[in-house]
Amino acid sequence: MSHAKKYVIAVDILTTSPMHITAIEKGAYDPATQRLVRYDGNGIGCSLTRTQSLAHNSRVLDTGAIVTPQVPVIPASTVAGKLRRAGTDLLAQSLIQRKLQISPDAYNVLTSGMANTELKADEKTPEVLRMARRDAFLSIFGGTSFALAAHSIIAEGWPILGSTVSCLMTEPIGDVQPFTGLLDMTEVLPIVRKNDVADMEGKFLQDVVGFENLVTYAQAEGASRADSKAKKAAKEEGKKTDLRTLNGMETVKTGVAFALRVEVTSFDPSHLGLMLLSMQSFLRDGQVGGKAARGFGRFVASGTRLYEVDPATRTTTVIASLFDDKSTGYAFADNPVVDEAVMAAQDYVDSISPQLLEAFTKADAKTLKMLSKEVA
Amino acid sequence: MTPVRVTFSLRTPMVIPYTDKHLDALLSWAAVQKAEFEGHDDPWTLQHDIGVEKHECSQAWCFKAGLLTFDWVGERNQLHYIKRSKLEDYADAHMDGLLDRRPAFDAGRGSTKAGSYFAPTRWVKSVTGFAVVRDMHRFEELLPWVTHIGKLRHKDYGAVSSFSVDIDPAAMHLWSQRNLPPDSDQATRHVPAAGALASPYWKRENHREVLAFAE
Repeated sequence: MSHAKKYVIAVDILTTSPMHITAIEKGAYDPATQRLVRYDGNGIGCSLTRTQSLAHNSRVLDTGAIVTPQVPVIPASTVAGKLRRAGTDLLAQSLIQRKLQISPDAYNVLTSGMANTELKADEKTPEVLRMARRDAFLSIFGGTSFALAAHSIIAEGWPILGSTVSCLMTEPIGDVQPFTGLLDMTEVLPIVRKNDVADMEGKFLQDVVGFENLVTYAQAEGASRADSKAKKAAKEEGKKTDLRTLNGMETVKTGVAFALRVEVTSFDPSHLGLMLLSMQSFLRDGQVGGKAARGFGRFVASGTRLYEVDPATRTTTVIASLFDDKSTGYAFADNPVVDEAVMAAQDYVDSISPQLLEAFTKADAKTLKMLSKEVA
Repeated sequence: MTPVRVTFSLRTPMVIPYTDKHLDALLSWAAVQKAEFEGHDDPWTLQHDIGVEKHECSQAWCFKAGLLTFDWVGERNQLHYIKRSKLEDYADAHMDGLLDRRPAFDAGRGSTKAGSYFAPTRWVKSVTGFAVVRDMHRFEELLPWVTHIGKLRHKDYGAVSSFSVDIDPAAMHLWSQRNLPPDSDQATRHVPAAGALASPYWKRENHREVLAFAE
């Protein structure tokens, strides 16, 4: 008899600083017209943040042109990476406290899912799959040399808009925002890199570097720049010589709400509990995306909820609010389902066995069989 | 024998499949998911218990379930994602005494190799498949378990928002728009090819000579 259940962990977040998650495509920003052109155009180079097109909401203009709205997103892989690392940290802390060690390959399995480049997906026996289903971390995050499937679905973080509500796993917890597209939700910020030596900036520059050295530096830089200009004029490939740069960076504005949704198939309460502890840790960290050192990507949770999903009908039922607000460190709300799950996960974390992790890392079916008998 | 048309609506874009997709593949996957959820000892043994009629020939068989057709919307997009291990994490783990030996870290090769991946995605209005059903109860109980279509299910791509089942006499001949055994008498616009006749379709060991549907 199975005690498996399906849940959706729903967290609405609100950006409290600009957020940028670099897309592989580049754009150009024209400061004179304050216009950002995706993807080629005149102006300074501009890193774009990750977006999704909403082709199902396209509209046709009178001219016949098709306009496809785009919205910024928090990629599923970004959220999944954060949650997996948070789960890894919980297990690592437990092992360190108990003075237990694991191999670098096993650590690699925990953080990235891969022990090495050699997969043994075909060696998954029913016994191996049963063992993996019993283990909270391996069940919800998957991976290992057996290429186990994850029993969790970590969705793209969609902005909460009228046009994206239909993309969400569960309805928004807070209000739908009135934004209509990228122009409302993003802005371009300048990223300036200076060269204090060339600009003769700095109170102690001359004392520290020396006047002679500064002159030599300026002469060398000038010659290098002249050489580069001459090459450019002759249409040869010139080298970039100036350290000073001005680039643009497209960021999501402060105050934009995103919906984070995670579905967990929980074969044991500890599975849901481990995902909840990982989510709590992610929320406490409160940062997502690049340029964290500049304070980018900060967010707070504005609403949280736990749903149970009936897999036979795909209907969802609200079980509880999940976390209290940020001032409490996102403490878990009082609820018997949440309490049971978190306590079971804490027991699991406190007793995680390096032997099991190593056996999955090495795809050692023999040791897993032995461990399986011990569990039985 | 009930001829049916199944239509799925999706709420997220799906990864464009690079091979043809059969309706019975979705149902087989659903059967395994359901069995696993219900605690079955070996869920894979139920992958062919999907309530669909079989088309039996002298050499082989296949389900009477056709290829899925996709009603695409808009342009295709490239989903880009990366795999990256952080050197600092390994250094911290080593310094904290977690690792039993000094880790080797190389972002260029081996297990810590960084990777950049692309997947072509596109919005889809609906996905349709035809089948001849033998056991309607079993068939219908599996459909809610078809939660996603296509790759990157764990990232919620190709998520099914709703489905409908309609009796459609056209399914009596449209089911044959799929891989058929080489000696099948149902072949119409089919050509000899290598492929599988039943799930798992991706598994190379299952590939053999078939008659593939050519549009």
